[in-house]
Amino acid sequence: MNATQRVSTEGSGWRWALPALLFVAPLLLWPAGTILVQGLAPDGRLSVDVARAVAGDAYYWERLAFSLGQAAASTTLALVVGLPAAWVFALVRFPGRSLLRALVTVPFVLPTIVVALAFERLLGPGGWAGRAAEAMGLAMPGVSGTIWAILLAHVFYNVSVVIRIVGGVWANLDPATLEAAQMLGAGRIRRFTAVTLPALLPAVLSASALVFMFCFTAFGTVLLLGGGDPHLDTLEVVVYRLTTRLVDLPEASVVAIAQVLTTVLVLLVYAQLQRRVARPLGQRARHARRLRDLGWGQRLLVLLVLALLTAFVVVPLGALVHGALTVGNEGRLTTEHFARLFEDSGNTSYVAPASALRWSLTFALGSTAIALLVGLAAGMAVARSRGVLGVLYDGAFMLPLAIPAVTLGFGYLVTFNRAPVDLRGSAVLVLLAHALIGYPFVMRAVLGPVRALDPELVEAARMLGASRRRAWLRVTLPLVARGLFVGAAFAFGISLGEFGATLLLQRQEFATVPVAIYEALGRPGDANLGAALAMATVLMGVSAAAFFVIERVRYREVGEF
Amino acid sequence: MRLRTLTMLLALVASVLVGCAAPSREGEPTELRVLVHSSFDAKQDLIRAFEDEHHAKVTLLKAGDANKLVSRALLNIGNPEADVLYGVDNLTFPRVAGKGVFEDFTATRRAQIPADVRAQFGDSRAVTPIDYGYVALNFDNKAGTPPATFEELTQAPWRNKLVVEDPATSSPGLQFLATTVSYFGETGAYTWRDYWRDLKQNGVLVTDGWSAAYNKEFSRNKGTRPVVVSYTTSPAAEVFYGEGKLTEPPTSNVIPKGAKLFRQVEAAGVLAGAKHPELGRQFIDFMLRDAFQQQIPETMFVYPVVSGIALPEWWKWASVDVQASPLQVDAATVDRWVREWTELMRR
Repeated sequence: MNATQRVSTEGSGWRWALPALLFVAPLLLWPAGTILVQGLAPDGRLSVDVARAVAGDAYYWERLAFSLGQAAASTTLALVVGLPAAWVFALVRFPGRSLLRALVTVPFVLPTIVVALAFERLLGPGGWAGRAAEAMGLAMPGVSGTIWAILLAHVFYNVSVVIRIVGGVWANLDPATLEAAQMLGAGRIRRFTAVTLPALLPAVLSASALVFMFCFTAFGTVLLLGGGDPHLDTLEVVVYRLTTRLVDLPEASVVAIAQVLTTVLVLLVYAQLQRRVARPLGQRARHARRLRDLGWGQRLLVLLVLALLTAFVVVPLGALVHGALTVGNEGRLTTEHFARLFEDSGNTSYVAPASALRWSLTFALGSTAIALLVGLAAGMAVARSRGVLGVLYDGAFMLPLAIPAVTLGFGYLVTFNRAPVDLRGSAVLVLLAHALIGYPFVMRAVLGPVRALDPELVEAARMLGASRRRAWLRVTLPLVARGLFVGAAFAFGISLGEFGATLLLQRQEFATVPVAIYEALGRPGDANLGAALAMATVLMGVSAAAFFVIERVRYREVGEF
Repeated sequence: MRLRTLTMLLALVASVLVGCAAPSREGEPTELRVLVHSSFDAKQDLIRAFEDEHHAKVTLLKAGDANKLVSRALLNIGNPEADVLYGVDNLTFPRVAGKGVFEDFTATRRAQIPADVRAQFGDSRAVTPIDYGYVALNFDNKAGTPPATFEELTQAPWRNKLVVEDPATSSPGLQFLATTVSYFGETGAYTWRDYWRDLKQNGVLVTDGWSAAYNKEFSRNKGTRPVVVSYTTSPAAEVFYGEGKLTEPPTSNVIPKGAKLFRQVEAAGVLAGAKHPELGRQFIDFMLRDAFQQQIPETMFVYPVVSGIALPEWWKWASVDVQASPLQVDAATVDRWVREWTELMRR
């Protein structure tokens, strides 16, 4: 291998980093920095005393420890459920596979309050779980309002991250390597630990990092499922509580900064690990086997995985639909709540389903397009930079997941508030905010394939006379496309379900589906609860259909994943 | 080359941004931006009538709850994103008072707003009261006999039966805290702090907002707790939104004898530095007209502020014979309550 050429591919990180930074700096670092500094130094002087007081308060350390602990536990659980499921989806063909994989991604778009209502219907008194346990003669443990409810919700939300990111790599492991190992006499277990596992490790780490970040900064799930127990508050919840009443509270800024620093620290460790396990891989689409071609043990595993996924994901979704069909009717099924969605109340707060869907989809498609560009550039920058720089890029580009949405929303209002860029009340701001939280998913999903890319392929193309650009377009991009699809699904889902930033930046006429749900839940009465659940069901259906379509398109164009 | 492509795309995004910020053309109706909280609602045809009358286009900017609304105004003093702000209340007003957020305005019908309501904002001309409401305990009628006193809720029969909202994050939560402060007092043998400590020991559940308390924990909606902190108008709203199936409320207000409820008054003001201050003042006058005041009960479920307004028949379920608490608050006091409450309940 020619050493100088190797360097020329690896050291080109800054070319990629530049455009990504041009997006992240004005849209994240500037607004978030402004609001945090404003909070920290309300009179222009930094309040060191507050930082010292926070650092000396055991309460905040306990909250930090709890945030880290529950995130680690949630990540572990998501892996326990997600890894076997990733194997099943990657390598086994069974009826309804695409549909199930689409359904598993649906939680991503559901507002937390809706998920909390579904879980209450499931785990609460007289809920499905309790009744099922009773029928089997078992006592249902009181899960509602405990740490278990939070962990369950985190698995519900995040299992698809593991399935898609790890499954994507698994489905494309070159079978030749495994066959070679088999011929060299490696048994099933040895083949898994020596060949499959090392190949999957970067993807497993990638997925874990995303799940961990998501759970570390958990907010809605904790507030709504923690049963109000103060011992279950995360740092993000503490910041929320401090900022709701007073945005300029120095204490909130100190805690928010501490949270960001912790995240950066975790990310740096992670990035270091990731570099160590990354290796070039042969990639080739493998054909999934049919269920009946499997041995008994594997068949049992498949059934177990399907049962787990059904319990963790499909049943809560079912509880939601059931709620939409029965609210206010003592268990009788009726579609009246769906019909009512279309009746204009004549009030300004009325949001027509078609209009809400149109805005939701507009924001989702637009922000996904931007997220793809930025995420690709960020991913290439990280993969193509050596040493500390690559690690730093990795940490910096993941920051959108670490900064509280409320902080960012307020940041926008104080930075984009003067001509020529007065964006307050503009739809573009919502679009950009959604792209900002979506692109880290694209970046993570792209990183795996880029790192696994054998540099010799690119070098071969270059030696055959292809320009750098042509080699990238013809060799790198097709292999990275797989990651782009996975990332696009998540960016799309995140945008469809987001309402923190939307709520802070929205005009009434831009009301998205989650905003309409949130507003309906702000009023008493069966009609409103019914409308919220019906709207949530519509959101579920539309997103499931969208994910299903993405599945079908993918199949034909970039092989199996 | 690929760098150039990406940079060009980013430049495109940037130009779209600038384009969106460009001012509107002449001859089009004047855009009046009204910054409101998420619960704002009004009859669409009334707003259209206002638009026709003034050749205007009303744009509603929704800002989350009252606290976020006020925070937004504070972050943009003198350079507001809207012309009018509606939804500042007597608990959030102290945060903005004297900071130059609003410009003074005397509404045409200001004299028709009861003096004691105006007094809740220190009769400040910065804001004009539009409506008011009370927070009270709501009881699920299926659950037997409601509690007769606040004190009873600290006793064994009411263990794990009450759900309240966090005053640090929820407006009704803060109002209920204010009611308990006013009822039990700040000093004496048994203060509001003692009451909350006893509630905590008796298993009170705290949610972050009204929606989780009412839709998830309240036994009327699949939850386990028959007593919830909600509004005095919620039982009437249950009938109104009962899809014609309810002739009587399934819930009722619990207002102990002698208890004075904290009265929340919501107000509107013209933001200092507004692009269209005159149109903004006309909008506030419009909000005090009979037509607007009359639809307040059925759109926002609060009481109209102008005296003698005709009310719908079903509003009888919302009529309560309560005395407003005379409690006067400043920002520091409210902050202290919230801090003390948080120390007591959340640590």
